[in-house]
Amino acid sequence: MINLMIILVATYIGLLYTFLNIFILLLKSKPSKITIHEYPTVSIIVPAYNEERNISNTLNSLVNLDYPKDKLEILVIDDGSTDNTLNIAKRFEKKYSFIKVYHKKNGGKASALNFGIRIAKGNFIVTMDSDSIVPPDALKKMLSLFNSEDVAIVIPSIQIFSPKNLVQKIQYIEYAYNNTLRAIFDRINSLYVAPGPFSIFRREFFNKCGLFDEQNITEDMEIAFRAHANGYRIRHAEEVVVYTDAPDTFKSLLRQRLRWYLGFIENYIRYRRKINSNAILSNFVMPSAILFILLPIILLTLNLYDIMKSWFLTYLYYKSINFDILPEIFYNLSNLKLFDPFMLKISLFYGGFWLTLLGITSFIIFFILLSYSLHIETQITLYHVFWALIYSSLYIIIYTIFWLYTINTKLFGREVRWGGLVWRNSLINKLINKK
Amino acid sequence: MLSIIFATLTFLLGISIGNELSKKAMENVFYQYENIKTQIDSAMLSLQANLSSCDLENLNLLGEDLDRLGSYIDYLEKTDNIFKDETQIQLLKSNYFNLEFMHYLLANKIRSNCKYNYTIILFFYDDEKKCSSCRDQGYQLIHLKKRHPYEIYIYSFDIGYDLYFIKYWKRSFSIEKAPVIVIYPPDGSKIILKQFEGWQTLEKYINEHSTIHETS
Repeated sequence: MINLMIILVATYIGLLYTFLNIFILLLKSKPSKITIHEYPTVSIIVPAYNEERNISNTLNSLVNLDYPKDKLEILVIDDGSTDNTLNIAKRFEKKYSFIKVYHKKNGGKASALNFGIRIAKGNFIVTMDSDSIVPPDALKKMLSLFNSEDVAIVIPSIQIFSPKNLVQKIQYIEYAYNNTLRAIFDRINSLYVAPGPFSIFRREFFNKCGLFDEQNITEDMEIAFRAHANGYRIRHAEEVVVYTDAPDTFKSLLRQRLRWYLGFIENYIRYRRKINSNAILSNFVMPSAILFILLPIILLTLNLYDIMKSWFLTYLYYKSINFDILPEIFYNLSNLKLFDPFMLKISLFYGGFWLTLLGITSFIIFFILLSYSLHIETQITLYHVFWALIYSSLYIIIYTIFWLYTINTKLFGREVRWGGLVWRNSLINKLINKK
Repeated sequence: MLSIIFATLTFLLGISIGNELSKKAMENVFYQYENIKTQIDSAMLSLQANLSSCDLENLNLLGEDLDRLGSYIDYLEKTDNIFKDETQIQLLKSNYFNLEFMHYLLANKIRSNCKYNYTIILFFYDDEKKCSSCRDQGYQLIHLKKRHPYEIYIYSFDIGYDLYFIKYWKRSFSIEKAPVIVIYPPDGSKIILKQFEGWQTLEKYINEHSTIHETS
């Protein structure tokens, strides 16, 4: 019965947040835009490490930006690539006067970005991942959102470019949903990440608050928290969709999420008191984010407990009959008791309460997801509905597994590496180092 | 505030739909019960009128229907559901035991009329007290039935139920504590076992008093 009560509470919380999201989206107006009379100078920094497959597409999309080229500079920072990235970038440098290519020793994305920011001349600095594609009108639309001096960063919507397999198709729906969440967080001034693909920063922000933290595993989240800690605002240009590459295997996705989630834990711990000036972010959005990490873990643990219990009882049964399984097989096959439609009907009806609530909740989530987020980039089709259904049923499990793996790493992990980044900030390492 | 109102309304809507569906599930199982009862009544009447005195196939079919009904009731009883109506489930179980008893009478009558060579087993358990040996004994009987699906008829009764024939058996077999097994082999003898017995031992007892053949 305790399980039941926890599921009831979780369902209610889910409903509450879903409606809250809908009302924020519908009732809170979008922050206003300004008309740009004189285009400011912009420096786009493209840190690149072994991106020979993608960098041409990225640079082509930047070249095609609808923006006065005399106000634009594109700085490609090759971060010690060992493939053909540098040569490809050099070809662009030869062709376009506003593209400049620099080569440095490998030091990680943040160090490449900082290298670029130091030499950049623009009043606005754009970070651009070298595996992303930007639409031509992105820069003009995004700059119009710098409507007051306290807006330090403007971020775009992000979507996966041409998802190919199950892992990418699930992420496609996840990214669409995250774009909706960004639109919601924008309305309550609570965006807490400035993602790599095409975030725009005011130059003064770096002058006042410093450059990217090169030791941080999620420098894009750290810089966003730092902006809030210094009283700045982050805005979201929801109609600008930047396409990016995404992990295509479960293993690579797990590694990416480990970095993101560890980064979330560490940056939140670091900034939780410093962001108090933003009451909604510190008192509502952050506790809610933590709640939605814990709830799936609790629910999955309860489910796992039930599954383990039923497996244990099955094991007890077979053990008590000395694993004499042949008669069991013959009996089940001869009586065809593997599937009973009436039992299915009973279990659907008797479990109908959950199905109804989950059905309604899912419908509402789809409503937001499909009618708001996807329309930005495309027409909603049955294809999207299908993948949204797959996403809803699989994602909670995948998400919980990733979080459990992250928590385990945070407690007991010794060392994790992502390219040039090394992470050793676990509890066990701290205890060992204390001794 | 608006979100709280909408969330609460949706939640209550979910609860009321869930309640209706749960009632519907219960009604469906009751309908199944009525269906099987009609069939067993009909078989009883036919037997009394000597219309189908040796119809073993029908007896087996009714037995399978009864097993299925048992599994539905078991599901309703063991599933966590905030709308679970314990009184309804107890009533359903009492009715189910009545059907089992009727089937037992049929099986007994057909066996004696037609000299069939099957064994009848009564199994008494207690759900009220946490009786792990009842669960284990149940496992052994399930397996025994699977080994000899058409040579053994097993009827399980919860001794906590206040039904006339259960009280009668409790008295007549001096049952104080579950599990208890009463075996009626085809030779007319009666074996009462008041402690846990594995399927091999039960099979041995039955073999000694009848001519059961191994199915595997």
